[in-house]
Amino acid sequence: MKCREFREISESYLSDELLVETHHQVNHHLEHCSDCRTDFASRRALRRRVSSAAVNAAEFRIDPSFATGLKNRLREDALGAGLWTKLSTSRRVLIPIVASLLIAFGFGSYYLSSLGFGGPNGNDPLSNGVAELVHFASGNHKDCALEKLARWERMSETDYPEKAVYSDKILAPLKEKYSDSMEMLSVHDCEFRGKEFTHVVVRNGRNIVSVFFDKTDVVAESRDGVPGPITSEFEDGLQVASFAQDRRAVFVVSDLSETENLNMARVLSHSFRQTS
Amino acid sequence: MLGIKWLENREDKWRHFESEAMPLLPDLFRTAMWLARNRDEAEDLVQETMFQAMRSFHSYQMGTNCKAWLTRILYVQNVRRLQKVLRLKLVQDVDDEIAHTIPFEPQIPQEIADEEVIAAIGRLPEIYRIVLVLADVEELSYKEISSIMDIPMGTVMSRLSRGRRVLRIELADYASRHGFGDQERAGAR
Repeated sequence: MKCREFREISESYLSDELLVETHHQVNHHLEHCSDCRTDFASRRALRRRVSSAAVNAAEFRIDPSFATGLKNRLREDALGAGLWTKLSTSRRVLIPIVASLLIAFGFGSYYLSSLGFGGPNGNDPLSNGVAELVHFASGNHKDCALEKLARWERMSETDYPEKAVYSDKILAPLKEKYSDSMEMLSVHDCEFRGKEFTHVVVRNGRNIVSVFFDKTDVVAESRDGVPGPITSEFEDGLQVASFAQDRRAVFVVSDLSETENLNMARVLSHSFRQTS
Repeated sequence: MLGIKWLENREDKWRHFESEAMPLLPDLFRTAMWLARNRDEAEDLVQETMFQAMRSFHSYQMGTNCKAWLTRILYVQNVRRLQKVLRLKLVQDVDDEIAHTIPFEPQIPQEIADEEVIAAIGRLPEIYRIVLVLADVEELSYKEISSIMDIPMGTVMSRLSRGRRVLRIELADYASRHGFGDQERAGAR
C-alpha cells in the first residue's frame, strides 16, 4: 500500500469500517511509514478528544429528574392509561369487567370485615404507614449502600451478632431463587434523617440491593399469618418494594427493574413468613 | 383469560422497552442536544422520541442496535420539528465549497480544553456536525448513520471526512491564536 492509498481510506480506517484484509494492509503500511503513522496518530487523538469532551460535558448530561419523570410517564402510558383507553372503547369488555369487580369488591369487603380487618388497622400499606417511609429507604440506600460501596467490599460482617439470622432469612432464599454467587456485603444498623434501620446490603453481580428493617416505627399488619400486600414505588430513581413484617416495615431497594425488585421482595416476604 | 394474557403482553412489552431503550436515555439526550442546541427543546425532542419509540416498539428487531433505532426516530422527529417551526430547507451544497478551503492537515495540540473542542464542534456546519457526532461520539457505523439520516453511505463518508478536517482547522486556528501548538503551519494558511 502506498501513502496516497492510505490517505484515501484513512477516514474509514479511523472509523473501523474497513474489511479485515484491507485493515491488515493498512496496519502493515503504518508499521513501515512514519509520516502516515504520525498523521494517523494525530487524527485518532482528535477523535478521542471529541468523544471524551462530548461525553463528559456537563451541558450534554441529562437531568436526572427529567429522566425519572419521563420514565414514569412512559410506564404510565404503557401500563395504565393505555389500558383504560382500550377498555373504555369496548363496551363488551368493559361491562363484564366492571360487574365482576363490583361483585368481587362486595364479597371481599364482607370477607375482610368478618376477619376483623378494615379501617385504620387494615393491611393496606398505603394506610398503615409504610408508604410514608419509602423515601427514607431510598435515601438511605443511596447514602449508605451506594456511597460506601467500596467500603462494603472490604468489610467483614463477623462483628454483627445477628448475621447468621439475616443470612438464613435473606441470603439463603435469594441464593436459592437467583444465584449462588449472591453475597451479603454488610449487616449493620444505620440512621437516615432520624430513621433507624437494620440495613442488609446484598450484591448480585453488578447489582447492589438493600433490605431495610425499620427500627423506629410500628406499622399495622395483617393477622393470622395472612400475608400483607407488597407495594412498589419508584422513588428518586430507585425501585422500592415494601411490606410489613412483625409490625415493622421492610423495604427492598435497588436499581433493578420494577418487576425484578418486586420479585425479590416477594421471595423475602415468603421466607420471613416461613421463618417467623 | 384473554384479558390476563393481554395485560401480560403489555407488561412484557414495557419490560422489554425498559431494559432495551431506557438505559440509552443519556446517549439519546446528548444527540438531541447537538440537534436542538437548547436543553428545553432537547428534552421535548427526547420525550417525543421515547413515546414514539414505545408505540413503535413492535417494529424494533431484538438483537439489532437499539441506539441506532432510537437515533433514527430522534432524527426524524427533529426534521419534523424544524420543518414545522422554521420551514427550513437543509443546505446541501456547502460541502465542496468548504472542502476546497482546507489546504493541509494540521496537528492538534493537547493543551486545548474540552470546552473549546465542544465549541468547535458546535461551529461546524450542521450537515457535518451531525454526522461527526453520530460517528465519533455515539460510535454508530456508516451504515447506521446512512439509515438514520436517509442519505447514501458515500455521503456519510465524505461529510465525516470533511467535518473532521474542518474541526482540525478550527482547533489549530484556535491554538495558534492562543499561542500554543503549530503556529508556523497555521500561520502559513
